[in-house]
Amino acid sequence: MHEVKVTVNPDGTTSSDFSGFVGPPCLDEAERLRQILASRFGIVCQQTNFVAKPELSQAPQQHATREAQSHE
Amino acid sequence: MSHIVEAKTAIVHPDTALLHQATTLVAQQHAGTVEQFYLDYYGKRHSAPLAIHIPQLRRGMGITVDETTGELTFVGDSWGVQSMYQQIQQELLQTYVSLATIQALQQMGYSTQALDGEQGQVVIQGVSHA
Repeated sequence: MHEVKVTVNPDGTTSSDFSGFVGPPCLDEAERLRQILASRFGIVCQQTNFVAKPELSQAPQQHATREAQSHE
Repeated sequence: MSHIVEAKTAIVHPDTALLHQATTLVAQQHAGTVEQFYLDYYGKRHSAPLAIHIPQLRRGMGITVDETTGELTFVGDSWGVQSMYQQIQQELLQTYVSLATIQALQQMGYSTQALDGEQGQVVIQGVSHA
Protein backbone atom coordinates (compact mmCIF):
# COMPACT_ATOMS: atom_id res chain seq x y z
CA MET A 1 0.00 0.00 0.00
CA HIS A 2 1.28 3.45 -0.91
CA GLU A 3 0.32 6.44 1.19
CA VAL A 4 0.84 10.14 0.56
CA LYS A 5 0.05 12.56 3.35
CA VAL A 6 0.12 16.26 2.44
CA THR A 7 -0.15 18.76 5.29
CA VAL A 8 -1.26 22.19 4.08
CA ASN A 9 -0.38 24.93 6.54
CA PRO A 10 -2.45 28.12 6.94
CA ASP A 11 0.19 30.08 5.01
CA GLY A 12 -0.06 27.67 2.05
CA THR A 13 3.26 25.94 2.67
CA THR A 14 3.11 22.15 2.53
CA SER A 15 4.78 19.08 3.94
CA SER A 16 4.39 15.88 1.91
CA ASP A 17 5.10 12.49 3.43
CA PHE A 18 5.43 9.53 1.06
CA SER A 19 5.23 6.13 2.71
CA GLY A 20 5.06 2.49 1.69
CA PHE A 21 7.46 2.93 -1.20
CA VAL A 22 10.69 1.03 -1.59
CA GLY A 23 13.53 2.74 -3.38
CA PRO A 24 13.41 5.67 -5.78
CA PRO A 25 9.82 5.26 -7.11
CA CYS A 26 8.65 7.57 -4.32
CA LEU A 27 10.69 10.34 -5.94
CA ASP A 28 8.89 9.73 -9.24
CA GLU A 29 5.55 9.89 -7.45
CA ALA A 30 6.50 13.18 -5.77
CA GLU A 31 7.55 14.62 -9.13
CA ARG A 32 4.27 13.47 -10.71
CA LEU A 33 2.27 15.19 -7.97
CA ARG A 34 4.34 18.35 -8.36
CA GLN A 35 3.76 18.39 -12.13
CA ILE A 36 -0.01 17.92 -11.86
CA LEU A 37 -0.30 20.69 -9.28
CA ALA A 38 1.67 23.01 -11.56
CA SER A 39 0.07 22.17 -14.91
CA ARG A 40 -3.57 21.78 -13.83
CA PHE A 41 -3.79 24.19 -10.93
CA GLY A 42 -0.93 26.67 -11.32
CA ILE A 43 0.60 25.75 -7.98
CA VAL A 44 4.34 26.23 -8.08
CA CYS A 45 6.11 24.34 -5.29
CA GLN A 46 9.56 25.40 -4.20
CA GLN A 47 11.22 22.71 -2.12
CA THR A 48 12.60 24.00 1.19
CA ASN A 49 13.52 20.73 2.92
CA PHE A 50 13.99 17.07 2.01
CA VAL A 51 14.27 14.20 4.47
CA ALA A 52 15.15 10.77 3.07
CA LYS A 53 13.96 7.67 4.90
CA PRO A 54 15.98 4.43 5.07
CA GLU A 55 13.68 2.76 2.53
CA LEU A 56 14.70 5.30 -0.09
CA SER A 57 18.15 3.74 -0.42
CA GLN A 58 16.71 0.23 -0.79
CA ALA A 59 16.54 -1.19 -4.29
CA PRO A 60 13.09 -2.54 -5.23
CA GLN A 61 14.65 -5.84 -6.36
CA GLN A 62 16.28 -6.37 -2.95
CA HIS A 63 12.96 -5.77 -1.30
CA ALA A 64 11.21 -8.22 -3.63
CA THR A 65 13.84 -10.87 -3.00
CA ARG A 66 13.51 -10.48 0.75
CA GLU A 67 9.74 -10.69 0.52
CA ALA A 68 9.99 -13.87 -1.58
CA GLN A 69 12.41 -15.41 0.92
CA SER A 70 10.14 -14.57 3.82
CA HIS A 71 7.29 -16.40 2.09
CA GLU A 72 9.32 -19.56 1.55
CA MET B 1 8.29 5.65 4.88
CA SER B 2 10.49 6.82 2.14
CA HIS B 3 10.78 10.57 2.17
CA ILE B 4 9.32 13.88 3.29
CA VAL B 5 9.32 17.09 1.25
CA GLU B 6 8.57 20.54 2.62
CA ALA B 7 7.74 23.28 0.13
CA LYS B 8 6.65 26.87 -0.27
CA THR B 9 3.82 27.39 -2.73
CA ALA B 10 2.84 30.14 -5.13
CA ILE B 11 -0.23 30.26 -7.35
CA VAL B 12 0.20 31.40 -10.93
CA HIS B 13 -2.59 31.01 -13.51
CA PRO B 14 -4.98 29.27 -11.10
CA ASP B 15 -7.78 27.01 -12.25
CA THR B 16 -10.85 29.26 -12.36
CA ALA B 17 -13.39 26.63 -11.34
CA LEU B 18 -11.31 25.47 -8.40
CA LEU B 19 -10.70 29.04 -7.29
CA HIS B 20 -14.45 29.64 -7.32
CA GLN B 21 -14.99 26.46 -5.31
CA ALA B 22 -12.37 27.50 -2.74
CA THR B 23 -13.91 30.97 -2.45
CA THR B 24 -17.39 29.50 -1.94
CA LEU B 25 -16.13 27.20 0.81
CA VAL B 26 -14.36 30.00 2.67
CA ALA B 27 -17.40 32.28 2.29
CA GLN B 28 -19.67 29.55 3.71
CA GLN B 29 -17.36 29.03 6.68
CA HIS B 30 -17.79 32.72 7.56
CA ALA B 31 -21.52 32.97 6.74
CA GLY B 32 -20.64 35.08 3.72
CA THR B 33 -21.34 35.17 0.00
CA VAL B 34 -19.50 35.08 -3.31
CA GLU B 35 -20.11 38.13 -5.48
CA GLN B 36 -18.63 39.86 -8.54
CA PHE B 37 -17.82 43.17 -6.92
CA TYR B 38 -16.16 44.78 -3.94
CA LEU B 39 -16.67 48.21 -2.41
CA ASP B 40 -14.14 50.94 -1.81
CA TYR B 41 -14.01 53.18 1.26
CA TYR B 42 -16.67 55.47 -0.22
CA GLY B 43 -19.02 52.60 -0.99
CA LYS B 44 -18.38 52.68 -4.71
CA ARG B 45 -18.68 49.32 -6.47
CA HIS B 46 -15.79 47.87 -8.43
CA SER B 47 -16.26 44.85 -10.65
CA ALA B 48 -14.18 41.75 -10.07
CA PRO B 49 -14.49 38.30 -11.64
CA LEU B 50 -14.72 36.88 -8.14
CA ALA B 51 -15.17 38.50 -4.73
CA ILE B 52 -15.82 37.30 -1.21
CA HIS B 53 -18.10 39.15 1.20
CA ILE B 54 -18.34 38.16 4.86
CA PRO B 55 -19.82 40.02 7.82
CA GLN B 56 -16.34 40.97 9.09
CA LEU B 57 -15.34 42.32 5.64
CA ARG B 58 -18.36 44.40 4.68
CA ARG B 59 -16.62 45.99 1.69
CA GLY B 60 -15.61 42.59 0.40
CA MET B 61 -12.41 41.50 -1.23
CA GLY B 62 -11.91 41.03 -4.97
CA ILE B 63 -9.96 38.02 -6.20
CA THR B 64 -8.33 38.55 -9.56
CA VAL B 65 -5.62 37.06 -11.72
CA ASP B 66 -3.04 39.48 -13.11
CA GLU B 67 -3.34 39.32 -16.89
CA THR B 68 0.38 39.80 -17.43
CA THR B 69 1.95 37.61 -14.76
CA GLY B 70 -0.95 35.24 -13.99
CA GLU B 71 -0.48 35.92 -10.29
CA LEU B 72 -3.39 35.56 -7.92
CA THR B 73 -4.17 39.03 -6.59
CA PHE B 74 -6.47 40.33 -3.86
CA VAL B 75 -7.99 43.79 -4.17
CA GLY B 76 -10.12 45.84 -1.84
CA ASP B 77 -10.06 48.26 1.05
CA SER B 78 -8.59 46.61 4.15
CA TRP B 79 -8.70 49.76 6.30
CA GLY B 80 -9.72 48.80 9.85
CA VAL B 81 -9.95 45.07 9.04
CA GLN B 82 -6.39 44.25 8.05
CA SER B 83 -6.10 41.19 10.27
CA MET B 84 -9.28 39.58 8.91
CA TYR B 85 -8.38 40.66 5.38
CA GLN B 86 -5.07 38.79 5.69
CA GLN B 87 -6.69 35.79 7.36
CA ILE B 88 -9.19 35.37 4.53
CA GLN B 89 -6.38 35.54 1.97
CA GLN B 90 -4.58 32.74 3.82
CA GLU B 91 -7.73 30.66 4.09
CA LEU B 92 -8.36 31.05 0.35
CA LEU B 93 -4.79 30.00 -0.43
CA GLN B 94 -4.92 27.04 1.96
CA THR B 95 -8.30 25.89 0.68
CA TYR B 96 -7.24 26.20 -2.96
CA VAL B 97 -4.03 24.21 -2.36
CA SER B 98 -5.95 21.57 -0.37
CA LEU B 99 -8.63 21.09 -3.04
CA ALA B 100 -5.99 20.96 -5.78
CA THR B 101 -3.99 18.36 -3.87
CA ILE B 102 -7.09 16.19 -3.44
CA GLN B 103 -7.85 16.33 -7.17
CA ALA B 104 -4.22 15.73 -8.14
CA LEU B 105 -3.93 12.66 -5.90
CA GLN B 106 -7.24 11.30 -7.25
CA GLN B 107 -5.89 11.75 -10.78
CA MET B 108 -2.89 9.66 -9.70
CA GLY B 109 -5.19 6.86 -8.56
CA TYR B 110 -5.27 7.54 -4.82
CA SER B 111 -8.34 7.41 -2.59
CA THR B 112 -8.34 10.63 -0.61
CA GLN B 113 -9.71 12.14 2.54
CA ALA B 114 -9.22 15.55 4.14
CA LEU B 115 -8.70 15.86 7.88
CA ASP B 116 -8.34 18.80 10.24
CA GLY B 117 -4.76 18.98 11.47
CA GLU B 118 -3.19 20.83 14.37
CA GLN B 119 -2.95 24.63 14.48
CA GLY B 120 -5.21 25.23 11.52
CA GLN B 121 -3.52 22.72 9.23
CA VAL B 122 -5.41 20.67 6.67
CA VAL B 123 -4.14 17.13 6.15
CA ILE B 124 -4.82 15.41 2.84
CA GLN B 125 -4.35 11.67 3.01
CA GLY B 126 -4.10 9.59 -0.16
CA VAL B 127 -3.97 5.80 -0.24
CA SER B 128 -3.26 3.56 -3.21
CA HIS B 129 -3.20 -0.23 -3.30
CA ALA B 130 -1.77 -0.33 -6.84
